[in-house]
Amino acid sequence: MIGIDLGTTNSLVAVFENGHPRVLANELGEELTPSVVAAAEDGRLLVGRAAKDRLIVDPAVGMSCFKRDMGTAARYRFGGKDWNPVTCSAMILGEMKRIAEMHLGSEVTKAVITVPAYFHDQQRQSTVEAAKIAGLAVERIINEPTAAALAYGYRNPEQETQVLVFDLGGGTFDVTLLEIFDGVVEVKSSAGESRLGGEDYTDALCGWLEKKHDWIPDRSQSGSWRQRVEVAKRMLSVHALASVSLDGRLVEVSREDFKDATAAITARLRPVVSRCLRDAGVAAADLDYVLLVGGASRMGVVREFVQDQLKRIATAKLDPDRVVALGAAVQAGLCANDAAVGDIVLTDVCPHTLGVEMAKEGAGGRPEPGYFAPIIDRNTTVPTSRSRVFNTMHPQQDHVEVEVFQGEARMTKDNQKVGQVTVNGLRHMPGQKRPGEVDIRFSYDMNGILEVEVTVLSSGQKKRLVVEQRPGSLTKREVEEAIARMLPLKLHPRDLLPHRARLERANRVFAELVGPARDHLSALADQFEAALETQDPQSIKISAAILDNFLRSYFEHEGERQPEPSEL
Amino acid sequence: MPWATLELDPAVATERDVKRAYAKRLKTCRPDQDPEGFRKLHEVYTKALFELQWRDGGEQGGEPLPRIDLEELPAPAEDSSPRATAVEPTAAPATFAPPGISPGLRAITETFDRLEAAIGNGLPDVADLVREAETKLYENPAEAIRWGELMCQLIAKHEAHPDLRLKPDAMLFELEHGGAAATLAVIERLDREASPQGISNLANLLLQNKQRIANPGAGIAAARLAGAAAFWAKRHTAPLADFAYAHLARGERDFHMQLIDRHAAMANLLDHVPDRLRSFWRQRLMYTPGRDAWDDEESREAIKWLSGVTARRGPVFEILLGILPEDLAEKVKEASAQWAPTGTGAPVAGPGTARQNPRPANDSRAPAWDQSPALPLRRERQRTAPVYTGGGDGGSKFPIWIIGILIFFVLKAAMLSSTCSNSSTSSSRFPPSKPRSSGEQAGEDFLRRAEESARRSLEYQKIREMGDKAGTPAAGTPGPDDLSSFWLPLPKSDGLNPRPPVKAPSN
Repeated sequence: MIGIDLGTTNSLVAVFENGHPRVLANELGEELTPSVVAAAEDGRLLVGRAAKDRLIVDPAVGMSCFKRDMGTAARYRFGGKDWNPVTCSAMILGEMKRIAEMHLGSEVTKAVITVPAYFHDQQRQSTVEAAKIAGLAVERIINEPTAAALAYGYRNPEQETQVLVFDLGGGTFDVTLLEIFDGVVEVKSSAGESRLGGEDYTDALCGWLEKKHDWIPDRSQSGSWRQRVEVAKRMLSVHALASVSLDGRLVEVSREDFKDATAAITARLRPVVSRCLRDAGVAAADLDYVLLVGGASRMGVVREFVQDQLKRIATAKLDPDRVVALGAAVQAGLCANDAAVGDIVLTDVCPHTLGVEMAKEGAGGRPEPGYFAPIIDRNTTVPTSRSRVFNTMHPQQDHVEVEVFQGEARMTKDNQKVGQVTVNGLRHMPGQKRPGEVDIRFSYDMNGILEVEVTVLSSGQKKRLVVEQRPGSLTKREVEEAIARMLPLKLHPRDLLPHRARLERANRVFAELVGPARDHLSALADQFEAALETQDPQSIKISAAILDNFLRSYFEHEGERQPEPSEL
Repeated sequence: MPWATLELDPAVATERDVKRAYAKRLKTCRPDQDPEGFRKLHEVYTKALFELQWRDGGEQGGEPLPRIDLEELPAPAEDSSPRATAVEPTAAPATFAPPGISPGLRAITETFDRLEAAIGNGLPDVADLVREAETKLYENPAEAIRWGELMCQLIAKHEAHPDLRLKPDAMLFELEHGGAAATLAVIERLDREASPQGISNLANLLLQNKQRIANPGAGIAAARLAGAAAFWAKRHTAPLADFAYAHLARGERDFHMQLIDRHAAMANLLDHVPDRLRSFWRQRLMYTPGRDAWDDEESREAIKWLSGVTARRGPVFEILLGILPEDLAEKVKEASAQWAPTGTGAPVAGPGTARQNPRPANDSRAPAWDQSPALPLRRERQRTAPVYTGGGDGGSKFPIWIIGILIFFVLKAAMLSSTCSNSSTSSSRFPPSKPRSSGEQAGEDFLRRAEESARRSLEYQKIREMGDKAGTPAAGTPGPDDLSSFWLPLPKSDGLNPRPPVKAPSN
């Protein structure tokens, strides 16, 4: 069984072996595979690093950050095909599966997949569907912060500790408070925002620079411009100053500038943290550790913020990028009853409030519909089952529409509707015991899936929720169709992947360069392609080495991390 | 039976024991393998922890707000005044550990001591010192909570001091940094001062800065303000409640929303209450339920008034009793027994019976009423009633039955808000909520109940007339139109409603 961290920006796969979790590297020797899908010029599909580089050259031929659209009805079109977040995710999961199989030498069919704690029911379902399409059975969906805490806590689960996990990833933000004692890892509360992350910081910095220098990149430049700003953003985590090339000149941006540019985003972190602490009834001073998870938590502004609000230095002993995948592998070990983790019990909470719509009688006696009546409060330990009794408005009223909502707003119009069920036979009859009353029971399971049961108390008639109208979720037939459609999709042969990635990288650099350097690169790339045509390993190796050399010197100059050249 | 399941002795078990016992049992019913068993075990576990908290909380007694002990600080020069010595940290408990005192907090405390001394000695520079205290807040955002507590104590103590006013910026800054106490104190004061304008202004301020102050503390302040706004300003309630709902912690939400509902219901109810009893209802009933002996001047007057209306007005005011704290309701019942010798339950107009038995115009209990002190029924100036006009029997009685309906539903709403908290397992007398019914049925329902209420209001009008005869200042026989303004329905305040607050008439 494998553990997969399906991230907004990068995805990782890990296994639990010999008592320890281990992250597996892809063919390029990288553990982080960018969560990007793109179509190559020849119409074939690219996944990962190659796709990311391809997108920088032409942003229109692929998709990144589709995790943000999970659970919505978003549609993309590239490479002559229609895509949605689920099928894109399926491509990434398929890639993860392949990487794992490459390392393990056997077929992998089961996986533990992590999702942000704040993912709601539909987003979780979509993730399960994506795995199905990729040929993986989901053994368990676990929350990313929980996974992170597992990665830290599985070694020493007996000691009583209160841990706050601060998970700021590429696109999602989660805060989770856990208590670990006597081999129990108990999530006490969880809060988050599903559209807040490192990508927003990059956008804010882009906007700030564009505004300050009164310059707007045109469409062909926008991909590489964003990439350059991204690099500058990362530099600022380490250095006090960074420079970006903007419209041909080099401009400087300092840490202070970055702080100003992103103050509005950092301010959105605060309410989430305080809500999490408050729901758990824990004061910041009672925390034993604050764990930083997610690549974006490396940023200086974020660390400063954590320090300010929680009054302590955060721990990031394990690599923030890898810790979630490691935790997923620990959970996989748990699911497989691995002896090394056999005595940990993990309990989680449901992150959203779930309830139904109700009407109140207003001041004038008018029924005022649209109020949200919570049934399962947020941060209730799951699995759980709660019920509440409701009445009809009028003795002659025969049916009620039970509309199920999730969210934290007072009025249902601001919450998200997840389903609806209608029950009949409520009209008052003589001799009935509890006329016009319905008992609405919500059951929420470990994987965050909700079941609604409505009982008419006078007759004992029961009705379960058949969820209808779920935007972005696929019917069974659609899943089968998607699988059928994906099968003939041709991926580049696995052994050629590094070559493909190298070529895409060269293409990307090509777009950045001018003059003789550009011509030189062009010649090197042509030579490499010619070598590929010959399929002669020796000449491929030589031309690849030359091209790599050039690219490395370019990236060193630009200050970007160059992936290790893979073995050929 | 949490303790039996965990095999522990509730008298001596510690939190550690409970956790250990829970963990041990958890190994045999893992949530993924035995969901039902886990659910039960977890319930037991939370219950046990909760009971422990009670037990230990009870042992320690009610913990006062921690105050700061700063012995090493030089005492202010005005220390000789009795006021100043009284506020010197005499009651400082050891709960606030000395290592926690930061330089910032020290500076804040020092400023507050001077401020307190200045107020106590009637010095003129209070306003300047308040500004200084605000500056100290801006300089030490990390101490916003403590600052708020100190300011709150100060405002509570010297409520009437004219210079003890906070700038909006200071309140926003406090809320932004997690505090709320000072803002709450200000809201409390505005509420007590009955200042619709001030409340509106503050509501606008909070709503305009929603993004900035988004945290649970501000949620509480907004909920509190929503209640005050429902009562005094009759607007801003919904947006404030929405904001509060989004930011309150899960356990706090129901409580605050119920409170807002009660405020709104009370607001309608109290349009009818004599002016001088308003503050009683407002402060004592809403905020200090149950803790009172109900023995002071105000309470006695309120009980007298309440028992009068209860005795006379049958079922509608029976419901009113339902929203009172139990002990007060008892007193009212006792009192009303003296008022109406024939018994309080008699005039009940049940849904079916009233149709056949309308009350005779000259009720035998009229004398009892006459012996009673004059009911301070209030006169209203003429006002066009913005009320429901959907059908009915029309004619001169038309507004009266509408009033009846309003009374009925306002009270029901009040009832509803007070009962829906414990309705999760059993249904209450008044449904906490109803899934949406079809419009037709609702309309039918409405008319049916309207008729019922109309009969009740006839009764009510009679009492009114009798009350007039009994000696309230006569300003002519009130026409039906006069009555309509008693029960202005609470506007569906979405912050856009331009209607001015209903002003209490001067008499």
